[in-house]
Amino acid sequence: MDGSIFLPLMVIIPIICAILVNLIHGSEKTTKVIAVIAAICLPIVPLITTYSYHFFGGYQPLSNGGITAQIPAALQGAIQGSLVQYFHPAITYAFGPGQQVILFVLGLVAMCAVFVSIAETKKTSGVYLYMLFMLTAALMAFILTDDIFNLYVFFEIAALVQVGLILVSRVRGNYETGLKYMLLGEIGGSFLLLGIGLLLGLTGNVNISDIVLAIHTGAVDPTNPVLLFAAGMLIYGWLYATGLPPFNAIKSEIYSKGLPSGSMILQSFSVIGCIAVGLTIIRVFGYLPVTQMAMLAVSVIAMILGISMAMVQDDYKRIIAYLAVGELGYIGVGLGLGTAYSITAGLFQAVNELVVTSFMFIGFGLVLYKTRTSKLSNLGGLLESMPIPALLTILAGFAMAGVPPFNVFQSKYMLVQAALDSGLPELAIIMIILSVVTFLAFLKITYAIFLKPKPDDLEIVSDSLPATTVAVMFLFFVICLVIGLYPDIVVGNLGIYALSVLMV
Amino acid sequence: MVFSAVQCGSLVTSALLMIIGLVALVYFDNIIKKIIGAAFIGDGVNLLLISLGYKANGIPYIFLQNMEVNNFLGQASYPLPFALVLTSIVIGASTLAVMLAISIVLYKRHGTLSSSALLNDKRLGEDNNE
Amino acid sequence: MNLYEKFVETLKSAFGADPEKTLVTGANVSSVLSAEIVLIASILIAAITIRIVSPALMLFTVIALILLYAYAGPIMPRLYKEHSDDLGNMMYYAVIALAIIAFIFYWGVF
Repeated sequence: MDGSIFLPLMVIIPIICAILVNLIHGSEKTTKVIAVIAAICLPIVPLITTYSYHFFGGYQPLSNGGITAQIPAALQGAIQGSLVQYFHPAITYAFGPGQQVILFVLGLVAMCAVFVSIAETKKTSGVYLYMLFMLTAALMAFILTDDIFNLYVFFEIAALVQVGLILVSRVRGNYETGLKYMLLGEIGGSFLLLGIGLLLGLTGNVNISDIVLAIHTGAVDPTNPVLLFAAGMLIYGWLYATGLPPFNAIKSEIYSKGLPSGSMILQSFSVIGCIAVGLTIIRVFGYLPVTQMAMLAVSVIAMILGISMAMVQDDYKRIIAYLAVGELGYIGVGLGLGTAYSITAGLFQAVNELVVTSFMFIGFGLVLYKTRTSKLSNLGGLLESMPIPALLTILAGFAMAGVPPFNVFQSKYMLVQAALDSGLPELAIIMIILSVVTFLAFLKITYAIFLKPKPDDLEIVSDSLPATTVAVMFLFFVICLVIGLYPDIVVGNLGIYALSVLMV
Repeated sequence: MVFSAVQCGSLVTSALLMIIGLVALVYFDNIIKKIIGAAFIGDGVNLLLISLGYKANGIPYIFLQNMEVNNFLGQASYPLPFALVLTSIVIGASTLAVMLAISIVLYKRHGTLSSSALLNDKRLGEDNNE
Repeated sequence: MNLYEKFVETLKSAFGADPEKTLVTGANVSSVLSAEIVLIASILIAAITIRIVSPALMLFTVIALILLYAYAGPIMPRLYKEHSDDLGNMMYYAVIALAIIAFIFYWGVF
């Protein structure tokens, strides 16, 4: 059997499962069974799919000769020899080694999120699972799609589902946060669409490869001010998708209002959005130094702001949220430096980020499960009641700060190398300093939650911890360790992806 | 590139819609007014998209057997923006619906629609779990 | 009043609604202090990258930043307040960023 038929299934399986669990949410058992089966499929499908392209509806570019519709002979003459014959008439999905790694890790994170949500909620909610699966489908499509409007559609679906995820979390203030996010999202999303519209107006296309082709063959003047403006709007959309400044405050607020399983997927959206939109910008506008400078500047500001703001919070959900925003800056630096090595490092950091931040969110989710409070000043002495999860959580923090032998050490090391190679030692210094401060911020939470004497008024729930959650934490720990010890299993594939981005 | 009068008009209108929407989002206090402003921005972008495909004296983009090729290529309007705008309008409508639904909930809970009362800084003294 | 007590006073008014009742622990003060130092250090280091554009501009920026800090510090409590969950605040910065990006990309490139 040809493995390429699985390519669209990566998006279709979660969508179908989402619709099913929503329809039958009354029957709890069936919902659980369907959700678990689909969740297990999520990481498996990328592994068995062969590297290929998928043209929806079968409409291949005319140069491939594979179009199924009959073209009138009179038009053939006009098309032959023009750029039109290379254009992609269908929505195109591309799947290569880099996409495989990213989608596999994303599938693992989504699978774990589904398991954790089933384990930690008393009554499995079909609607909640619907949103987890729908967001996963959107994220899978982000990485696969080669069509910028398709990217936008899934982007908006993801934004709506994110709001849904925090609306159901029953954390105080979630409705207000949802409305704020949507109002800001309307600005970010609309101006992203404006950029796409201007690109469409200039190049007549929404396929990214075709836009690149049109710009680099000179069919469109690369210095056209409207094109540059479109670049600016895409960067603005990138800031919104990633949660870099000025959107870092709302992003960290969103994370802190979600359930642990929800926050895992929410932060996956930021990471995947960062690399999907960021790589699009690099592919289309890589020839403009100003795009790279803008990306670098915003990423550095995000790192500094995110990590120093994390130090002053008194709510551990907020601290992790700000750290997550700060870590996204590292990915942005990797993409912004714009060399093959730095983009590989950025993608590697993104893959690690997916795992490590999820790891942290579940670990501290257990603290919330035990104590029902997230204020550091009210917490303390939890090491006694949950020793093994506490150890794993501390290790997650070590991984995030870039302590060897974990995975983030490898990617941050590559990023520092990339910055030095590009002649920007200042960036390398900043990245190292901020890693140290990440560690410090993390030590602060560890001390306040696990080591400090237990306050008298703190009530610890006596329920035993859900075994699934602890198992998921072990899984993440193993992934961190394996990628940290053998980075080549990931880096080689990501390097191919980075090269394909820079190739015109 | 030459714009027709209709196209110019719609481009100016779309720019105005976006600016009005931004002003409404920043300056109005009432949440419903803010939401209307947000919808304005989306409408402005949609109008811009659809005006990209407009062609004065254009014909539908369906090639019939007896047509002159060059005539068709010169006059057919561009179909892609229409397809995209349709999708974009659906997205905008669903976003609008969710925002309005949230504001209904907020009004029922707090009895006000003022954003400075509802969407203000809640961190000071927060303990955010129910 | 010595410098440390002054700093604690600033923190009290920044982190709580009521300065009298706000409890600021030693851990809080030290973390805010380290955030403050990191912020200054990394912003100054980041400002050095302007040397790529022009060394004179870099010198000017660095000196301006140092003077600005001497005038405006301590900056972290201020930043914490500014970095609030208020929608008006977020919207303001979002629109400012939009304006800056539009300006840079439309006029500032070539």
